[in-house]
Amino acid sequence: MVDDDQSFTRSTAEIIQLLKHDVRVAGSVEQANQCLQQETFDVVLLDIMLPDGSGFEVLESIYRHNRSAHIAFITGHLAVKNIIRSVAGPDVSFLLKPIDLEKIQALLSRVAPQGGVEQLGIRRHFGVLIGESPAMRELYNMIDRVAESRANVLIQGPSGAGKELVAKAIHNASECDGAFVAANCGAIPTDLIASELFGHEKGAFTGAVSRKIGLFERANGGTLFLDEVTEMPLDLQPNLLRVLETGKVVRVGGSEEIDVKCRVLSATNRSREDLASKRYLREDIYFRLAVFPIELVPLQKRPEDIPLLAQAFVDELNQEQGTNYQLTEPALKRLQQYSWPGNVRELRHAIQRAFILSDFETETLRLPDDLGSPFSQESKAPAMLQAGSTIQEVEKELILATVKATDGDKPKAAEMLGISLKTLYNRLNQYQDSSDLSMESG
Amino acid sequence: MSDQQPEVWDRHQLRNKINNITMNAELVKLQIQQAIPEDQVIASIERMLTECKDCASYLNEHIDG
Repeated sequence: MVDDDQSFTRSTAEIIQLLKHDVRVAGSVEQANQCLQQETFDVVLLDIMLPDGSGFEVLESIYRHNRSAHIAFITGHLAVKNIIRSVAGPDVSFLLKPIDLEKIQALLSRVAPQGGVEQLGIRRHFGVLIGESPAMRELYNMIDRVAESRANVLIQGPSGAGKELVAKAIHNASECDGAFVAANCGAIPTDLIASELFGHEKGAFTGAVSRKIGLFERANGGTLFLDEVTEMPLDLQPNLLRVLETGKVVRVGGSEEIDVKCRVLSATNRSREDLASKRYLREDIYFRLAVFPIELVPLQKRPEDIPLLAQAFVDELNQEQGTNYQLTEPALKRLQQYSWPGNVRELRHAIQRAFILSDFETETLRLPDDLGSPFSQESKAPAMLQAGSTIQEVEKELILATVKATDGDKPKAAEMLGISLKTLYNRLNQYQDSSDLSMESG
Repeated sequence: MSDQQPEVWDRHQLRNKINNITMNAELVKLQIQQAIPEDQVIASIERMLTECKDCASYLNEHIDG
C-alpha cells in the first residue's frame, strides 16, 4: 500500500491483516521502490499524489520488478479514471473514497489470503460470491461485462439463491462512487411505496412531519437494488417507469425535478414465463429493468459448489463462536447429495443447526438428521435419485423417509416399503451401527 | 487565535478525513467480530474520534464561523 496518509494506511493495513493477508506500507515513491525491489506483491494499492513524486513513478518499478501485481489506484473521484488508464493501461482498478470493507474485500478476492480459508481455495469473487462451478464462472463473466456498462439488471432466480449478493457483486465490480441502497418492494406498504422510492416534502401527507430523501436520491451515483420488484402493485409501476426513463425524481408533495444517476438492479423469484403470463410486471417496465437479465442457477444444479459454500459457512461460524468444528468427508458427501430446494440459504441454515447440535469436545460437525427446512419438504424425493448415489444410500434414504412419514410406525412403514418388519429393523440397526462408527472415527 | 493563517482544507482533504473515519469504523467492526483485545479496539475508536474532532473544528472555523 503506497500512500502518505498515515491514518489511512494504519487502519487499512490492520483491516487487510484481519482479512488474513500480509501487507507492507510505503509513504513515498522512494519507500515504495525499495519494497518492490525486495519483495513481490499480488496487489498494489497506489495513491496518485505522494510527497516525493506521483504514483505513476511507482508504476515503473512495478512493471520492472513485479509485472504480475494487480494495481489499484486510490482516488477520491472517478474523473481521473480515464487519465490514469491512458498512462497505466486498462488492467488497473480503482478504490474510490470513501472506501469500505466490501471494496477492500472485492479487491483482495483476486488473491488467496494467508492461513485459514485459503488452504481450501475458497475465493470470494467480487468480495461476496463463492463458487467455482461452470455456472458460477459464467455468472462472474456476466458481472464483469455488465459492470462496465450502466445498464439496469433484472436478477431472476429461486428463493435463497443469493440474488442480493449478486446485486452487491455488480455494485462492487462497478467503479461507482455512490452507495449500494437495497429495498424490498414486497415489504413496503402499498401507500408508502412512492414516498420510500422518491421521498417526500414536509407536509406532503398526514404524518409527513419532515422532508424525507427517497431511495433513488440515496443511491445517486451508486446502485439501487429493488428486491421482489414484481410485488410492486401494477398501478404504481408507471411512477417507477417515469424515473427510469427520465432519470429525474419528484418528491411526493414537491414540484422540483431532481436528477438521479444510479443503476437500478432488481430481483424476482418469479419465472420468466410467469412475468408475462401472470402480469407481475408491465411490459414497458420490464424492458427498462431487464436491459441485462441474469438468471441464477439453483444450487442443486451446481453440486460442486456445495463443499466450498459449506466450508465457508463453517469457517465463518467457527470464527464468530471461537470454535474449531470440522466437516468430515461423509458429512460433505451427504450435503452434496441433498437437493437443497431452499438453495444457499437452506445450506447455511443446515450448517447453523449443525453447530448447535455438535459436541464442542469432538470438534466434528454433526449434521441434522433432516437437512431440509419446513419450506422444502415437497422437494425431497429427487435427492434420493441423484446420480452418483449408491443403491445402499438410496435405499437408506427411502427407508428413513418412510419411517419418518409414518411418524415412526414401523409396521406401517414396512408395509409401505414392501419389506418384512424384521428386515426393516435389521436395516435400521445397521444404519445406527454405521452412524455410531462414523461418529467414533470422526 | 494565532497570527498564523488558519489551514484551509480543500475537498480532497475533507474527503480524506471522512474516508479515515469510515475505514476506522470498518476496522472496529472487524476487530469486534474477531474478538481482538479491547485496547486495540479502543485505539481504533480514538483515531476515529480524532478525525471527527478535526472535521468539527474545520466546520466551526470555516463554515459556521
